[in-house]
Amino acid sequence: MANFKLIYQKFLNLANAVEELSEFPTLDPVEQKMLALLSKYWSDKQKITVVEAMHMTTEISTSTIFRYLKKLRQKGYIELVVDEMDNRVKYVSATAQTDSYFNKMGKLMLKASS
Amino acid sequence: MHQFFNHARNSALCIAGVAVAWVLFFKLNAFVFSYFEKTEFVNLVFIPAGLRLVSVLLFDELGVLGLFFGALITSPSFSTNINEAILISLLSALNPYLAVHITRRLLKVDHLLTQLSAKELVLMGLFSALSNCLIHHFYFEFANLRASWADCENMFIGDIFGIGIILTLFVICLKLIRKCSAQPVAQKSNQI
Repeated sequence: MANFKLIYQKFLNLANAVEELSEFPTLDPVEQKMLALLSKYWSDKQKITVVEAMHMTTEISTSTIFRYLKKLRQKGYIELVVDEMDNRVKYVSATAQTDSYFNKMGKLMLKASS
Repeated sequence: MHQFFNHARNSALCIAGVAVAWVLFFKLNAFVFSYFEKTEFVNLVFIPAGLRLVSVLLFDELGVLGLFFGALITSPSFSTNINEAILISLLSALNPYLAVHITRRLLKVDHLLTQLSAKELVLMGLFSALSNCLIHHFYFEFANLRASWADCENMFIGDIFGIGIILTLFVICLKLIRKCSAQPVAQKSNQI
């Protein structure tokens, strides 16, 4: 039997998945905040380790940050680079996708202000 | 009783909608991509394959019924060999249903598709295209129909292109809808 409410819910979820195909993987507010915090280090050409990233803000707990770092890595927004001298140290660095995401956001901001 | 008839009417609407969409896409495909047609069953670009995936994801069993009736209407052997037409239409309609159910279970995507991501959707499309071409060609082989295993590859490519085209159209439609619905809001905010 047809249940239009269920069909509509499925349609919305399918639409989200389909839109992901053409755009950047969607970011929730916490992920956006994390990227914004990390971008401070990246723009100053500073290297940031995973441990440092976990303590970069007091607003979000370290375990939550770690979980979100994993999520961002899965979505291709960050990559972990192993230190040349010490294999135990991993740096959080931006990817090409992160650069294009910031570029797009910048363009959108200009568009909105004009 | 009234509720039962209401449900029955809605179900019939879904089935008819999918069947009509199938016929329209099938005709459009035959008109636009006739150059890519390899045999009467195989085309290098087959848009209705995308409709199969979307219908089954949204409408489940009702989608299967709609696809079955649509495929039956457009079957090339409908007037000459009705049994063959029914069997091929059944395969065509049941394949995506099974493929979607298997991939959904394997990828742990729930019935409401809340966990569905782009990657999983692509995997579903790939698996659906693969199972469709394999099962169709097993049947062609079994029924001694005029089809070679080389066409199996062509059918797979056709289904992949078809799914790609439908999903692209889906994205374009969503963007257009968003743009159209955002314009009045922007106009209002400018007025303020």
